Amino acid sequence: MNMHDAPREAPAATHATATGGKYLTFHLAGEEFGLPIMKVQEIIGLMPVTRVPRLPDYVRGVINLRGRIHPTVDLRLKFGLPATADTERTCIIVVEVATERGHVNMGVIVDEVAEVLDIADTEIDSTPEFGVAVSTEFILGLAVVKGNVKMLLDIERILTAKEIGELASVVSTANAGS
Amino acid sequence: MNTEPIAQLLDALAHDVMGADAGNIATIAPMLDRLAGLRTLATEQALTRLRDAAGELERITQQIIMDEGNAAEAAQTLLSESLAAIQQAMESDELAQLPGLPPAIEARLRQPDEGATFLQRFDSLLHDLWGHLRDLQQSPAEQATPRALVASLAALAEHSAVAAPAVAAACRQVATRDKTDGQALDATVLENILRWIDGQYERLAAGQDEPAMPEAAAPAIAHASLDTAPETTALPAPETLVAETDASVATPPAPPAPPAATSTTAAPGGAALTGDLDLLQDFVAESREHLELASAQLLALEAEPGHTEALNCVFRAFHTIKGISGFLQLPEIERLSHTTENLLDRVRTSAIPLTAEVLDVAFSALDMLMRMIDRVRDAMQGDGWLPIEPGLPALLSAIVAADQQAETAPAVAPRPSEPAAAAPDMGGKGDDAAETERMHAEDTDAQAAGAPGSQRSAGHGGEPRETIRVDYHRLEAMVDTIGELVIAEAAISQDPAVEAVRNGLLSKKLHNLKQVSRKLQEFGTAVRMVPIAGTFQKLARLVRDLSRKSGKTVLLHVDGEETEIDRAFVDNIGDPLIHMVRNAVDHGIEPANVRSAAGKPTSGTIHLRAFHEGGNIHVEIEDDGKGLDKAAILAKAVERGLIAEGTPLSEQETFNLIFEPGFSTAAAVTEVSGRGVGMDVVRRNIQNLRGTVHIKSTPGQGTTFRMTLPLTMALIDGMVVRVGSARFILPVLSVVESLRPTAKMLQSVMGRGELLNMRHGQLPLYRMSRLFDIPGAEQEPTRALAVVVERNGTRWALLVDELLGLQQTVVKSLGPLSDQAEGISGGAIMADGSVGLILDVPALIDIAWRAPAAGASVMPTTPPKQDPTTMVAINQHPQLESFRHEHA
Repeated sequence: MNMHDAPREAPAATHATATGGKYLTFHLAGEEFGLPIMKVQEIIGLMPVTRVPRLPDYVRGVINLRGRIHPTVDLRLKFGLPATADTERTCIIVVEVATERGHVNMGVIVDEVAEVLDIADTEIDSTPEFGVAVSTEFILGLAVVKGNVKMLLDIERILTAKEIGELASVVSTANAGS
Repeated sequence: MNTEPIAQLLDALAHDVMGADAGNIATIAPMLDRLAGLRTLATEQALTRLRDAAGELERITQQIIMDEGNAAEAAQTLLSESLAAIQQAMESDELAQLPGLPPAIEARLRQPDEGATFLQRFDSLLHDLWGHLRDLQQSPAEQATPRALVASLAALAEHSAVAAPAVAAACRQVATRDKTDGQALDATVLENILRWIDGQYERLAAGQDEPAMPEAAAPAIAHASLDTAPETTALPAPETLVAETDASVATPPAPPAPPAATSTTAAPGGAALTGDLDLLQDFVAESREHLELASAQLLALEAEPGHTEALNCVFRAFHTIKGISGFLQLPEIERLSHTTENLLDRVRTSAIPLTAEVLDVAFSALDMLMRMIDRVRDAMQGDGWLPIEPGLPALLSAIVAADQQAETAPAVAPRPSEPAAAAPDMGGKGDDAAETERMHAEDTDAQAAGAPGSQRSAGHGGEPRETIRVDYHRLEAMVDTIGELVIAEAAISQDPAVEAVRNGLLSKKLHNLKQVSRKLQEFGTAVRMVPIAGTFQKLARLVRDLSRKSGKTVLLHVDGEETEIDRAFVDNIGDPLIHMVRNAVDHGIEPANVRSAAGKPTSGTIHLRAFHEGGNIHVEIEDDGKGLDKAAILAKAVERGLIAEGTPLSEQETFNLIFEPGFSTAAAVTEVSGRGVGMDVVRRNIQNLRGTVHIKSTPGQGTTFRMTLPLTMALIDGMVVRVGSARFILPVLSVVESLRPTAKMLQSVMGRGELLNMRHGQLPLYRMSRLFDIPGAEQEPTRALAVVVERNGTRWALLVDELLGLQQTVVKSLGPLSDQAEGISGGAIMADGSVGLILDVPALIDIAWRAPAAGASVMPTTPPKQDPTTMVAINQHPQLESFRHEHA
C-alpha cells in the first residue's frame, strides 16, 4: 500500500475536510463510516476490557496490548446509539490520536470492520448538511462510493471531545437525521 | 567594517576612565567587561593590534584593581592614554595599524617569553591531534567524532583563540562537524586540516604573529560555508580543504553576539546561544554535576580549611567549567569561573589564606553558575536567547575584593556551619565543632570517590566505579520492557495448558526462566536507584545559609546518605525536604538565648536520616527545637474553621492539621508555633509519590517529620482484591490490616453509614462496591473482607469481597484516562494478561467523603475520631509481613 496516498492529518481546531486517500471503513448500527488509514495502528479482535469505575459509559475500559495500557471507547455509546451485545465480528480499531499530552493510542470498538477503500477527491462531498447520523462537527466529509454513503470521521475530535454535552448533540443530530 | 560598536565601547570606556577611582573597585570593575568586549569585537574584525591592546589594557585594569595604591595611578594614566590613541586611530581610519599607543603598552604587546610558551603548548596540542588522527585512521568513527579528539580540538581552539583565530575557528568547526551535518569526521578531512594547522604553526614559529591570513579572513572563517568558500579560495582557509574531500561542509556556529553590546547597556539584553546543541547539553549536565560536587566539597572545606583534596576538587570544578564554557562561547560563565578559579588557585598556592569572604564569594559563584547554567538549558529548550546575568559584575568585584582582603586577613578557623562572626568565640562549642567536623570528614570520605567526571556510587565502600551516562528515557523503556518480560513469564508458567504438562524437565526450565526474569527485574529496579546524598547535600547547604541568615547556630547531622532512592523521586522529594528543613531552622530551633535559658546547648541540631525499613524508604528530619505547640495549632485550626471548637482530637490528628490547605497561611507562621508555610504542598507532593508523612513532637524537645516512600515508582507491592467480578490492586503501603468483620463489630449510623468497631476505636467502613458502583458484590459484610487503610495517620476500612493474593506489579500509566479516572492511580498487567487497576487510597477516601450517595456512609466534617496511631504504621497482617520480608 502506498502510504503517500493517505489523506493528510486533519487539524483538529478548525472544521476539517476530507481529502482523497485510503480509508478504513467499518459498520456501526447499520451505517458505514470511514477512518483515515494513517490514524489506524491495527485492528484486533475483542479482548477482555477492564472497566474503569466512575467514567462515562462509552469508555468501555482499558486493554493490555503488548504491555501497554490503551483506553478503549465504545463508539456506539459515544455516538449515543443503542448498545448491542458483542458479536464475533465486534472488534477494536487501535488508533493514534494527538492530544495535548502528545500522541496516544486508543481503542475504538466498532460492530464490524469492512475494508480499506481508496476514495478519490471527487467522491467526497465535504459539506454534508443533513441526513447524517453524526454531528457534522465530527465528520470530515461524506463519500459516495458505488452508491453507498460513507461518513468519514474526524476520530481525533471525537475521542478528545471533553464534554459529554458535545456528544449529546451527536445523539440529537442522529435522531433528527434518521 | 562596522566600527560603530567599537566607537560606542570606547566612549563608554573613556567615560569610565574619567570617573574611575583607583580605590573604588565598583568604578573599575565594569571596565573589565567593556575591555573584554572590545577584545572580542577586535578579534571578530581581525583588528589584531586593537585586540592585543585591549587585552593588555584589560590586564592593566585588573592590576589597578589588585594593585597597591600608587602603581594604580600610573596604570590609570596609561589606560586613558591608550584609549585616547585608539580613539584617534579610529577617527583617522587607522584602527588596524593603531599607531600612537603609549610606549609602555607597545613594549608589553611584544613579550617573547609568552610567545615561546604559547608555541610549545600549541605544538604539544598539535602533536596530540596527530595522535588522534592515527587512531582515527586505524578505527574510523562511525557515528560520532571520538570524544578525546573533540576535547583536543577544543583545547587547541581555546589556546589559539587570541593568537591564531583562524586555527581556533578551524578547530571548532571540525570539532562540531559531526553534529552539524550528521557525519563523523573522516580521517582524510582531519589530515588536511592538521596539515594546514602545521603550516600555520610554522608561520607562527617563524615570528609572523599573524598566521598569514589577511585581516578579512577571520570573519570569512567565522561565516564560512560552502557558499562563501569560492570567494575565499585565495586563502588557505580550512573549509576549502574540507570542501575538497567532502562537498557538504559543516556550517560553523555563527559568531557570538558581542558580549560588549550587552554589558555596556543597562537594558536587559543577552546573547544568542551559538554553541553546538549536543555539546551544550552535555555541558549543562556535566556542569551541574561539577557544581553539586563542588558545593558539597566547599562545605567540607569550610568545616576543615586545611582539607586540600576538597579545595582541589572545588578548583577543578571551576577549571573544567571555564574550559568548556570558553569553547562553547559562553563568555559570562567563562568569566565567572575563570575569576573564581584564579581566586581559588591563590588559596591553593597559599598566596592568600582561606578567609570567610573567600568562602562566601565561592559559594555565591557556585550559585550564580548554577543559575547561568540553568539559563543555558532554558535557552536551549526555548528560543536560544541567553539573557545576561545582572549580578555578574558585582560578584566579580566581590571576588576580587575578597582576594585583596584575604592578603591581610587571618585564615578562617575550622568551624561548623555557623555565622562567620561567631567564629572567634568558639569557647563553649568545642565539642559541637569537633563533632561536625568529624561528620563532614565522613562526608568527604564518601565524596572523595566522586572526583569530577565519575559518578558517585555510595553505599558500597566509596570505591570509584566506572559509570556510563544513559539517556533517562532509554532507561525507562528498558525497565518497562523488563516489566513486560516478567509478566510474560508469569503468563506462560501460570497458563493452565503449561501447568497440565507433567514434565520435570519443562518445569525445571520454567523455573530457570522465572529466576532469570526475577533477577532482571531486580536489576531493572536497581538501575533506577541513586544515592540520596545529592539531595542531602543541597540541604546541608540550605542549613548553612539559613543559619547564617537567622543568626542561629545550627548543626546538621546526616545519616544514611548512601541510601538509594528511585531516580524519579529525586526531583520530587527535594521541595518537601527543603520546606521541612526551612521550617525546622526558622521556627523549630529557638534563638541561642532561649535555648540556654531552657538548659539546652546553644546551637541547635538537625538530624537528617535516610534508611530502608519494611520494604520502604524512610527520610527523617529531626530538630531539637521547641516542638509543636498543640494548643496553638488547635486555636489556629478553630479560627480558620478547619475544626469545630472543642473537637476531641488525638495528638497525631492535631499535628496533621498543619497539613490542611486552609491552615497554612503566611500569618500562621508567626502566630502559631511556626510550621505552616506550604505544608499542604509538602503533603501533596509526598502523596503523589505514594508516600506518607508522620509527625512526632515533644514540647521543648523537638519535632521529627518522617517521610515514608515506596522503594520505587516503577513497582508496587499490591494486595489484589476482588469486588464483584472486578479486581483491584491496593498498595501494601496504605494497608494496615485486613479482617473479616463479625456481626458485633458492625454498626450502622442512622441507616446512612457504617462503622467498624475495632480494638481501639471505630473506623468508618466504606463499601468498594458502592464507591465504584460495581454490581454483584457481596452484600453481607460478615462474609466479606474489611481492609483497614491509612492516610496520614488516620484510618478507614474498605469492604471488598475477598483477598486474591499479593503481587509485585509494574505500574503503568492509564494514559489519557489518568486524569479522569478518580480513585485509580494507574494500571498493572495481571498474570492473565488483563489490566488490573491500582487504587489510589487518598483519592478513594475523598470520593467517599464527597459523595454520600455513592459511599452511603457517615459524612464526618473532619477526619473521624480514631484510635491514636503510632509513628510507624504497624502492619498486623501476617501475610503482608512475610510478603514484605520477601521483597525487602
